[in-house]
Amino acid sequence: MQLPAPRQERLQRREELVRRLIELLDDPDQVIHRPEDLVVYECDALSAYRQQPMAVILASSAEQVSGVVRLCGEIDIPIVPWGAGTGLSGGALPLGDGVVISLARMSRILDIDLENRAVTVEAGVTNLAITRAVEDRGFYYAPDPSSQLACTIGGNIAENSGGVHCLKYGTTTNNVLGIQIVLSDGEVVDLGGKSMDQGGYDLLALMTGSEGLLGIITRATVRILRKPQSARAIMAVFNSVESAGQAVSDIIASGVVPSGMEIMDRLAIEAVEDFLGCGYPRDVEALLLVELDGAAAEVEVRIGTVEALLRQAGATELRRADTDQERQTLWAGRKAAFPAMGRIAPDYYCMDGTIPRGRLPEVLRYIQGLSERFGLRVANVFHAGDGNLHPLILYDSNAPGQLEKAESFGAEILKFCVGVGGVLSGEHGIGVEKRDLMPCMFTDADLDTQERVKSAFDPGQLLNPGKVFPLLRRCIPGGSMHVHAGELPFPGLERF
Amino acid sequence: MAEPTPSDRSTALKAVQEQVLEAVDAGTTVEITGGCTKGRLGRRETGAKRLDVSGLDQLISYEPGELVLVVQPGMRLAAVEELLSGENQHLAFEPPQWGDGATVGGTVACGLSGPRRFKAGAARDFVLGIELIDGCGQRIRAGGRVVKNVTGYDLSRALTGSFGTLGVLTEICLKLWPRPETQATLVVDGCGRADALALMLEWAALPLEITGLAYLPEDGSTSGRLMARIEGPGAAVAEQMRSLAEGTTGAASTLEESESAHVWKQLRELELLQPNADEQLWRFSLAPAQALLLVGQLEAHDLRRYCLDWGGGQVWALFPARVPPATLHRAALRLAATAWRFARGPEDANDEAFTPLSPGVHRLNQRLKRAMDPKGVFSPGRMYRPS
Repeated sequence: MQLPAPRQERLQRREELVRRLIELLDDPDQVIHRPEDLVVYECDALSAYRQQPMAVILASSAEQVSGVVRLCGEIDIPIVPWGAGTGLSGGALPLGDGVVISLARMSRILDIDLENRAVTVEAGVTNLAITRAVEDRGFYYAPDPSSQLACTIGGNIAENSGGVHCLKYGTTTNNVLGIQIVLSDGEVVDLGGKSMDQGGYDLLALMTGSEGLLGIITRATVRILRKPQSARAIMAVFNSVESAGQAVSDIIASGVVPSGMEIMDRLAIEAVEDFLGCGYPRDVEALLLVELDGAAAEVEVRIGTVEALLRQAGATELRRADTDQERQTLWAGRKAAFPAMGRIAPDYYCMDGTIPRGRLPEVLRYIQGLSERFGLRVANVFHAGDGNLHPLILYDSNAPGQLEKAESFGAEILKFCVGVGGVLSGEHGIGVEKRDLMPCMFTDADLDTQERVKSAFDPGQLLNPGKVFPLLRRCIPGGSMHVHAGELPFPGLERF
Repeated sequence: MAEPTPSDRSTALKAVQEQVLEAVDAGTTVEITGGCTKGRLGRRETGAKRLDVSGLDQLISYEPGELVLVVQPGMRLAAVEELLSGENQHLAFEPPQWGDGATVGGTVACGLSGPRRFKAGAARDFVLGIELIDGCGQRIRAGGRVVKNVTGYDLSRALTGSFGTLGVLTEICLKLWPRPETQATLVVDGCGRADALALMLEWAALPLEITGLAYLPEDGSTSGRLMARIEGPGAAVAEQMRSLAEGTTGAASTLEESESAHVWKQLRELELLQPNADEQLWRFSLAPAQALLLVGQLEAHDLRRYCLDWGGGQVWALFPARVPPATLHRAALRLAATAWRFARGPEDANDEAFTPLSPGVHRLNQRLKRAMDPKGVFSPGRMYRPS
């Protein structure tokens, strides 16, 4: 994987850049430029790729972001926007001849409007902080990426983050009402607001998931929901992953939309049980977790339907969680799946494709075949309700050739996902990680159109260049989330 | 009748593509039409050639277990609804038809959503992917056929509500939803507007399956009427109706299944607020809690009748034809609302139909337009007067 080569003429401007940035901002502490201080910013959570920027700006207002963007435009310096650096696709990987604009200091909650069910925050507010700000009044913000304790709303919007409840509640794009952005020429523009429509084109949708290539998000108004009256979960044990997958389709076809459906395969279950001892049954092929939420009266009716369908689909055991605590216990194992992998293999490599649900058995068989072909074990955990797979390829980076094998394995999985009608990324984004696989999914004409949109917003190509679009348009494997010895880039965060 | 084959489909597609390429070469403009039921929206171009896509009317695929439907844009909305109801599914954004010929393409191009929108999401929330012919005459694809997707810019949603000005939709993938088993509507008559809005704001936030919230103010023959629709399994609907009714003080009654369905269809199809010959119809979208502030301002401009939908987030209103559109757009702007004026006929088709955008947003709109349609082939003045 290559990044655009740092340009000498930009590197030579480092002193001028730092001097002018310090002049521009009120406080010299807002400009980080010493190599020893820049270490923190050399990678996001895709830590296999690292690069120090020339400087990092800790912006405290949209005006400052605008000022920095104008300055960078004037002296031709590329910019990488940065929230919390928890992204898994290298979307915030710095450029050696660029600056990073961190939004982390812009962490004020500006307005809580319960009447309109809207909360307005600065871009650096964390996902979970939004829920924390309104939960005492019975509300929450629905998208729940596993890094929600640390990741920022600005980053969530840039990557269109998901979570475990997307089938029912949508991803970030379905939960944002308005944003303020700084454009590549420094202009500050507000899109949307508290109404359910915006005038003109749906630029809010275009900006969401644009991975920092079209503008820098400085503020957001998000939709909040009332906490459901009732939330219940059932765990079902199956003799094969295929029958668990079938149960998922049966439930959806029956007219029930669970808030979450998660499948784990044998290797994942065993690893989790070894790691946590959370009481999952051993020696079984698959577990399916189904969570229902909503009005109490409705959940009561639906849970019976779901139980019957699970039995019909061949579940050999059902465990029902009627209290919140029992429900958390059922979830605990699923949420420990990633760290548990660190115990059974020196390294693992996490993929993020989405497929049509019905193709699940076929995709799993293919992954199993690849596992045998590459001689690497793979554990499967996935958001089955929305078809988002997270195969975890186990390998040992100290064994010669295994890393390359794991990467080829991963690329083969993603290509197969696209082949069955799926996509390269469900929730981690393309970033640098899957950039070179884009031609597997899109034609030259598709990518040309997208790049024309990019140029329309950023004619100077200064916003996060080198991300999303392949430098060469051939379908070649990229990297992915590699974890060595269980050392996650953000060890304190859940990953699921 | 024989099923059309993929090669028939590709012939029809090629014909559309050729018409776009001809316009590109000749430097002319085209206006995309389907069922011709949405002509009252936006401005009308003079001199644009019609590009009729109603022939692109095929079902591409329907997989009930995936909750996904792929169709060509000319497929009739009514045919889609019928197909889906056979599998107990539906389009949860409850699109209006406004005429028998309504198509999926027109619905998506205009970004239209019905009463369930405040709960279930808008048309744009249900568009997962598209194929289109852009302004260079190229066939391109964006999005996908799955709910969770961060792979390239979300052009599918950006084209939803673009009124045919960014490209010709040739295939649309929609997310479906199970059709609720039953519905019922709680009706509170004799409800003043301030009380009604307060209740709607409160109810919209309740953790219940309330999927419609509308208010019809006092109007000679009727007293103010607040309506709340609940959907789901029968027992759950009954239980929730009881708990909702307990919180009301006025004369509450219940509309069961078919009566309930009928009244929301009337609202969706604009049957409750039909303009007379000397009236113009407007639609305003705004923060729900501001609804009555807006109504108050509109009353200063000869507001004749109105009703509230989307729990206050959408206001339908009638004015005498003589009220200049600019006046009403200014009223909308004062409350950060956005408004649509429905054209009465050719005589006012040139007026500013949509509330003007702020200069910054307008420039971004123009840039996106140029990126997708560099030569301005697709109805350049449909949304805003070309500058």
